[in-house]
Amino acid sequence: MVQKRRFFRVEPIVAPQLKELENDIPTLPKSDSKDASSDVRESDQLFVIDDDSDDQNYEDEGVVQEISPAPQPNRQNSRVPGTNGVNMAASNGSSESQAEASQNIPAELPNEPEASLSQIGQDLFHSQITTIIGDVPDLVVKYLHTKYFNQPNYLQLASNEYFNGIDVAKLERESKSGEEQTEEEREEARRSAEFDLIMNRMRKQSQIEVAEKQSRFWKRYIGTLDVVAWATRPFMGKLQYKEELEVKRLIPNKIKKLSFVASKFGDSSIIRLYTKAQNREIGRIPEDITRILAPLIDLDLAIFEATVVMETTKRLSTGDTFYIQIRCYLNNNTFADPTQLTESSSQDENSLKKRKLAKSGLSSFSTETEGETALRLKQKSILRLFEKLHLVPGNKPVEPSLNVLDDDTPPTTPAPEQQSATDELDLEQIKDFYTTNQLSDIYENLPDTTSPPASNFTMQLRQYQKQGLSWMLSREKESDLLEELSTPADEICPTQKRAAIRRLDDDVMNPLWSIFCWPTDPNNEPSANTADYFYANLYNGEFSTEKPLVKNFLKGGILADEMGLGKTILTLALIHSVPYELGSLTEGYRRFADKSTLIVVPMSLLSQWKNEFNRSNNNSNHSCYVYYGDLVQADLVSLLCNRKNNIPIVVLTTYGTVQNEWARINKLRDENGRLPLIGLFSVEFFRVVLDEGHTIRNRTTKTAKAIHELELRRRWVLSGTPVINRLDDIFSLVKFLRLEPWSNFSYWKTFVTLPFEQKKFNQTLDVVKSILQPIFLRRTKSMKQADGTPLVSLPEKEVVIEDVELSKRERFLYELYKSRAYNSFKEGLNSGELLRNYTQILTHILRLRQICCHSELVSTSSEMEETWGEELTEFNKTFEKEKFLLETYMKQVMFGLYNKVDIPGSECSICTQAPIAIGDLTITECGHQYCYHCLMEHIQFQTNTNNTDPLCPDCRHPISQYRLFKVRGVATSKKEVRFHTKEDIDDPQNLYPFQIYHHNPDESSAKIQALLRHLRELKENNPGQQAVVFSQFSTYLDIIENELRLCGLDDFIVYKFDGRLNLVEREKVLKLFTTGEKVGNKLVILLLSLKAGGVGLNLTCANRAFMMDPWWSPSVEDQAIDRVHRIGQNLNVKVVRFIVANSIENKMLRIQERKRMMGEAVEVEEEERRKQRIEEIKLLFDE
Amino acid sequence: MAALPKRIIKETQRLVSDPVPGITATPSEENLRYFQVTIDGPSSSPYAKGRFDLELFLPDDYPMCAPKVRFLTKIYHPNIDKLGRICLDVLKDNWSPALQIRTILLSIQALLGAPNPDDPLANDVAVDWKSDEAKAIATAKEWTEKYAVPSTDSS
Repeated sequence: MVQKRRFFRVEPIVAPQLKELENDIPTLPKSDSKDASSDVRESDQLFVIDDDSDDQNYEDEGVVQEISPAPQPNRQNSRVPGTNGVNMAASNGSSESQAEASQNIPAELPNEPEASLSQIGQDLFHSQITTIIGDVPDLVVKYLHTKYFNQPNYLQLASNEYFNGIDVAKLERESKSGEEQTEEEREEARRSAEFDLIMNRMRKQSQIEVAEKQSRFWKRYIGTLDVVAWATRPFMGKLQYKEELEVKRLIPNKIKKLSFVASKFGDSSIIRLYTKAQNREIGRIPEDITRILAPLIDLDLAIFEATVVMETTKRLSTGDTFYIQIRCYLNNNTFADPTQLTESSSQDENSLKKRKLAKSGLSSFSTETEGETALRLKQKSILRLFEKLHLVPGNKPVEPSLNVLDDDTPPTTPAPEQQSATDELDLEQIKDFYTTNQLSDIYENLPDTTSPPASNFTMQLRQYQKQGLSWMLSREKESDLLEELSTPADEICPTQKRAAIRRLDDDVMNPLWSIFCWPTDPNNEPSANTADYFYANLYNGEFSTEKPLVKNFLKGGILADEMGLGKTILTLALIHSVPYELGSLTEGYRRFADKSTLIVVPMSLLSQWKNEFNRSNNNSNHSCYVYYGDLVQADLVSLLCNRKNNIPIVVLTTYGTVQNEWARINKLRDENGRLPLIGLFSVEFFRVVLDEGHTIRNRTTKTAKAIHELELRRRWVLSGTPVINRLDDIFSLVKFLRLEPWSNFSYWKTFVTLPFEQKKFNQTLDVVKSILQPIFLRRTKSMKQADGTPLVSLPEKEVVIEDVELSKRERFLYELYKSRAYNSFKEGLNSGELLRNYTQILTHILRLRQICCHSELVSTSSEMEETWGEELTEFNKTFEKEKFLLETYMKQVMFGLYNKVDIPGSECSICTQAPIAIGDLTITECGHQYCYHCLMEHIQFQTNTNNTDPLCPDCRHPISQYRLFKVRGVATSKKEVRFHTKEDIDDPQNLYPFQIYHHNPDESSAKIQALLRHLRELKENNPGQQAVVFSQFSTYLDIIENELRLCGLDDFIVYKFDGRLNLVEREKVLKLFTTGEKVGNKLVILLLSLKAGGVGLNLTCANRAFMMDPWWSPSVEDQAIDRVHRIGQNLNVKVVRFIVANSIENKMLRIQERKRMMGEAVEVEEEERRKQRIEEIKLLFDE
Repeated sequence: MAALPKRIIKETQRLVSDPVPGITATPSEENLRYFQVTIDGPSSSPYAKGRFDLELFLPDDYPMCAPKVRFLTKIYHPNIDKLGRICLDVLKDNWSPALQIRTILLSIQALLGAPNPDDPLANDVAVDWKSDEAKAIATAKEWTEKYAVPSTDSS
């Protein structure tokens, strides 16, 4: 552990004093307690020296360093440990010892220390940086160190740069060439500059120290401890009730000697009690209390006063117990350095490092500076003290509880457990602290009457949307405007509402901190501090008398309303409410497009946004510019800036456009690393909105990087599903929003990623929630409004899973592929290289899934013929006798049927459907007509269940699925029929109004047939309804389209929307489908690719959805279903999911179920994900 | 249970609106796949004047497989056993989905008119029938009167 490598030394001059104190009868003059205690403090100075400073001589040279109670010097300390103290002494020079020290230093400084200074600094830096970012090459460390050495938040900058990527090879080259050059000179110059800097900083530091010391001393009561002390030597006199005792903190000589191996700062020491009258030691405080109090005394943070509460009647022998009460005070040192409180970065940095330490027992000791050690000690001790005093955070005074005598309380838990307990607590704390800062009540109080000015905006918002707009306006700090817009002209804004609006302007308390109420002092002792509250960061031990505020400059947030609640409209309402920047128009490097909001959307939503804008816009001077495709032009400046007429307040573009543009100009950066002023990167936008913002969830993708380089003043992310796979998905959004400090990856990593890896799932989730809380708004459809009605009442949604039975041939193929997949899986499992073969196995799985859809999907991969040519031929033979061997014979039979077909008079004797729809009509060899699926069911039932050859239900003639005919509405000349049948036909010039064709079941698939059946049923029972068919395979959509066209010519109108369509085509298809042009009573069907059409589209004109194939993640399917089931849908929605029974598909359903259950967020860690994947694959191959 | 197929609804409607003479079939209120059936004995048969109660159940696979039919009234018939089970080809292997409840019940009625002791279900009855047909017919009549004729006082 850290402590092992730490040791405490006592400055030699002080040692004799100590000895004196130790050797009984104190020689200290009788004085008031305060003086005495301060004497003790002085003589008890503890010294911490890095033993990395390798020079053993230091030890005896009286380098004195008082542990600074203030954490401020950490940074300096961390860079140049040891020297800080040296310098302090030099400039301070007040005490004898320090003066002595200062004499020693000048002699040492000139040469060697210089080098060692920077070396020490670098070593330290090295260990710090490695705890944050893991192992890095020395070269990189050196580079970072020299680069950021002078910056105040050097660690943060360095780790940032590291995470942004450093070209190691380049560094190597540079360092080599550098060495060859005038290395010495440069080094010399650098060193002296460095040294000057250090000296300056230390000088400043010492000034601060002095000022601090001079600052007013105060103490304030925080509680009373009842303690059973025990006598250390016989005491003849009586201890009187209320007699005051001296509390003295001593480090016994023995321990001092042993301090090289002392395990804990102050823990092995003793607190003694002296009588005031004789100044004579009588006893000591029990160890557990000592452990708490000692560090606080050592660090001069608290003052303890002991009084006897029960008078002793007889003399005390050694070991006897007596009862005392310890009044505890915090003094001003605890609250020292308020300047730090506003600077959230440094405190977080501390805690960050500390967490690292706590986490990895291996971390090198130099990571922790003296100040940090002190701070940590302070945090731990104060926490324990507070615990003992029952002091808990809260803004109400704690009821003075009756403290039980100490021997009644259960023994304190052993130290290691306590350590972990504090760890736990930390997370809990953040969570609690955050939730106290919830904005939910603020949201509740926001007016739900806000509407954009009618001169700009034509549409009417729903109530919750108005409230949402209030929230968005408040997030943009537009409280004046909000007040104005939320109050109808003839009303006066009620004060309560006004207050709610204004409250948002208030800064929020730093969530890492908590508020404490000063306990009331039963003795009513006056204190210099009269505030009601104090504030503590129990996380790192910092205290403040002032409220630590987080300045929240971020304008924007995440609107995560559930799909279908109208995020688009709400965003447009916001834009129409605040179309221009009303504040500062100062420009930076890029021109400021103060009247333009850039909206980045997925390509498929571009036209929808454009339409919505045009629909909502009421200001003829406002327009929307689509920056896409041919309309991409480099000169956005003249287009957007300083426009007076026809102002493009909205610029619409796609993620692809942003990324392309960025990739194109990324290489053209100038010497400052700035992008050239081209296109979207030539202006600073007033506002940027990311629709479906989870698109940038992976911050390493080009798209995300490109988005992060846009310049803008207000930022919004819209997403119904902000977390798709992992909690870290949110980080990229947070980074885009520049939500400090979380947008710094090292913070995020420390507070979210790492705890999550430690499996503290719930806490971490809560932390994330809390981080997001102020900037995050999510409403769900089921949420209730104030009056108890749901936000949106959507018609019911019914999702049915339909089991599909594969045909014999499909099943045969499936089994072939399955056997191969299983072999590959078992091989992988046995060799333990399952994941190495991951892609291969995924391919196998893909094939299986494709067969479930349609065998055509795999036959094109040509591996079928190659691998299983023989088996297939063998398999096909089994059906040979059923098939028509000769085409001519088939035709003879087929044309013979023309006279038997009677479409209007047809009745399916199986389901009694009459007449049978022409596309469904199926004719047996013997001329009987059935619905296709009725007959197929009959055939399958006969062969599979009854194991008999199928017979025609009507005439018991043998039938086969290979000998069936279907009909379509194409005219056939009777001549042709006569040619084949050689029969006399009365009127050869005439036409049959239909065409019979041979049906080959191998060309279709079980799923498509099932779909067809549903579509037919829908058309029959609910004429005029529209349906959407989803699949993830666009080739499958092609097959479905063909099939529907082929046999549904007379029943269906089919549109198809997938990723291959360009923007114009997409628009056209959607328009055709949504306007639902009815031809006769045909069923209008849209075939939609899950990926291209799963998000954003509004397809409420349909109320039926068919999911042809399952996707791994249920949320993707839910998204797709919500295209139909959303606001604007008036009918009940029915969704059918086709799943092949006994196949990979129903195993996928199980995985979906699992994901749903665990919540998809809970698979963050890479190792965990790997395991998960293996689990999933196993599940798939589970028999 | 799955929704009632359209075919069953249609059949039921037709059984009610256009009943077969001498046959009634009423669906149970709790289960629309369960029917209470009566068949009047054919006039030229020993079962004449008798009214036989049967139960009919349409399994889930109907119409892919035959309905299950059973006599509830005791009957003396070589193709119907003590438990009321019926030996009839269309109820077994010769079932075709083109057949319906109506046709099945007609087949059963026809079976009453034309017992087939060569393909018996109730062996003892079949033996009687073959050895002494007149006596068997008399027993059948007797049973019919005893069990199948609706008592006058109750009607």
